[in-house]
Amino acid sequence: MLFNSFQFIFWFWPVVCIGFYLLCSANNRQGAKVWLLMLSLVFYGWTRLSNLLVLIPSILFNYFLSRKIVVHKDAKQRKLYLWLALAPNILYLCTFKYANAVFGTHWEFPLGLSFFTVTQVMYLVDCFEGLTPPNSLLDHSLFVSFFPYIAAGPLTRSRIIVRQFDSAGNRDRAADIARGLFVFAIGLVKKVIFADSFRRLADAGFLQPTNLSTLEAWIISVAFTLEIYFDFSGYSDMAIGIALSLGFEIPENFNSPFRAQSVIEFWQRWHMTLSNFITTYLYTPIVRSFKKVTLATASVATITAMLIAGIWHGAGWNFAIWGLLHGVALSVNHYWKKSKRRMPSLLAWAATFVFVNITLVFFRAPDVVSAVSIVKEMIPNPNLLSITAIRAKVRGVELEVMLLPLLIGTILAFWGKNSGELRRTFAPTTRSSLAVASLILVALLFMNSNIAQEFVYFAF
Amino acid sequence: MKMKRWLIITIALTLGCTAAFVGLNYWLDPYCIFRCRPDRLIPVATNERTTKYLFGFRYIPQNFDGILIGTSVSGNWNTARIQGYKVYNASLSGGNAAEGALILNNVLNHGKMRLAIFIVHPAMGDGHEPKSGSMNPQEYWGSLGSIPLLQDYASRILRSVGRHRDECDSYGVYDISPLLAAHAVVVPPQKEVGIFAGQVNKVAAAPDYVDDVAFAQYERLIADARRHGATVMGVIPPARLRPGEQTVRQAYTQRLLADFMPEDIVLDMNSPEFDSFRESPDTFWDGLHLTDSGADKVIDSINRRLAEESLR
Repeated sequence: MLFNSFQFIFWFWPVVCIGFYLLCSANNRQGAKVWLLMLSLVFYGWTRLSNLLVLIPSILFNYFLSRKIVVHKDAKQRKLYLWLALAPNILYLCTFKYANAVFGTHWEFPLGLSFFTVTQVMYLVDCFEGLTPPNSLLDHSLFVSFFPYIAAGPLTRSRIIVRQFDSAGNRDRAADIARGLFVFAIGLVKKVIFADSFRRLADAGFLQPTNLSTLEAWIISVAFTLEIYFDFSGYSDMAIGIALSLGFEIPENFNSPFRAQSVIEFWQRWHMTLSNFITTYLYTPIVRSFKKVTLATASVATITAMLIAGIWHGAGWNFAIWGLLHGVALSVNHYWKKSKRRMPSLLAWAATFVFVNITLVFFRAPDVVSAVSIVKEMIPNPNLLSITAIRAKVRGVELEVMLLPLLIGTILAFWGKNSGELRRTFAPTTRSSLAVASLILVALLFMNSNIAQEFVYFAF
Repeated sequence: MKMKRWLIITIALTLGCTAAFVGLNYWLDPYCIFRCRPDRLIPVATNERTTKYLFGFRYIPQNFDGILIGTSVSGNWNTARIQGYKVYNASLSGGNAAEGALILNNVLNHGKMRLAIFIVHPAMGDGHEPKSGSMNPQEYWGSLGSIPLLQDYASRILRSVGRHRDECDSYGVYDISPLLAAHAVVVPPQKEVGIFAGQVNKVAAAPDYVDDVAFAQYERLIADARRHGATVMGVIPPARLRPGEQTVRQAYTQRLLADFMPEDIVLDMNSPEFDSFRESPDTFWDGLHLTDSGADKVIDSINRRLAEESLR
């Protein structure tokens, strides 16, 4: 079930809220948790019931192994159980992620597998480190399958969410629902108006990445960069808004990434929960494995961690190259930082954006050859300003509809307030009420226009 | 304002405005889906694929007893001039059999057609997928509120102040005057050759090349019309071809004609009988698409064939 579907907005979400708050009002906290778990499983199995056959064994396996890790006092045994738990998780993920590429199978990738596997890896390591107490089976099942974030994050740690199971719904409920609706509306608009418009433009080029002019190559690459930003940050906002409407706080994922003036800063603002995971659970253990921490060893750790993050996104070499490029850029950025040299802000911003934009070509292109072809065409060539390839794909009528969202979206992505800032300044006024109602109405119009698309990150 | 009050107002406003907008569209019913008066004739203002697809739900079954399935080749054939039947021209620019089937199936599921005319032209087998996503059941609900609907309203408002021309009239017939004005100078008079050269190349590369799925769709299209009791007519549209292309074109035409039964009517506008018509400078505007006077002559021929058949 998609957040940007009528069944979710008009049926599923209200039913979840009503049931949850009724049970909370009746002081039936266990019942409220069971209700959320049941509806989360319905949400997850909605598109394909067989998805549950992938999720439930994973939950049970990790629940039992986490108990084993915690019960044992002996460090060696704890470590053994940690690896006994981590290895099958990695194998499980790799099997679904890479079997098609390696063995030529045709398995459909289960929704959210990458996310709930990473979530549980974080939980297992936290249990091992003693950072989180072991969950009960109900808490663990709900923590993993909680519907706002199971499909595509934000990646949430157990210690942040589980403690809220016993307190959510106790605050001012109207305020939580109002704030949740506000954030959800922002996310919905980002997804169905902006992301889907940029997607049409990006697809026009990426589906046939040859014979593009320099201008077209730049237009489609920037279009994809903005598409993935609006798509994923829109999804994250919706997830945060839905969770908030139930009284849960889950971490923010984006903080105006296109304002970044360095690659380091970009990763502090882009897919922040994944950045935290990479830093805490990949980079730190790798760097610790070296005898001495120097800038060189830190660079090796950074590049390795980012390469793993790239491969986590998909089986193609293009994802590996994307991760590798970012790893190298982060290392160079650290050396640059250490040298204490300064770059003018505007130049730093432009260099960062151009780098991010070019690397995202590898992320979106179907293969490395296509990506290289587009990147080559981004270098000024005799076919400089033609837009015939895009015009051939995007018909006049579509362009009329897309033009306004494309313009507004571009302005908002670079200069607009982000949803976190908007959320913090939210006030219950007539103006905000009119704004939210109008945003939802316009979004519903787009949703009902046969242009609603799945979220990009559902594929990862 | 208190949060609770804000929440109630916002939800009420959202639901109220949504309901009002949906109710208004239901009442206006621009595609004649929900409350169609029998005498209401509606032109295609914009988005011809969506509009003609939606017309299949009620407008065509209620107002017409015949349908023409074709491409831009037959787009400006004025079907209002066909005698003895009221025929809707469901031709689509760049259409193929897959898209024709989407409209025809809709029409046949909601009413009865006495006459179904199909053009016999390679373009009908040009791919076996619909060429856009704008012809699907979701558009039915889209007619209660969607972006294409707003575009339709905007086009109608602009038309009322003389700033927009309808794409097709209430019989689905294209208004090609803006095209003629725009293309009279710039389009070389051999567009057909360009399209057809592609097919020739495919045949040269693989002598047995046939898009079997597309041809099967075309066959099913005709069979469906026949099964629903319609008189089936195939019209081979006139074309000005270079000598070398005749053979390949004939091969394709014969392949398409194989789907017609002996009781069906076939009109070949490329037969020697129409040589002078095809050679006339007034017939085509680009070697493939007919001028309005050329299209009228095709309709005259259709009328003659239908009259001959009725005498049998």
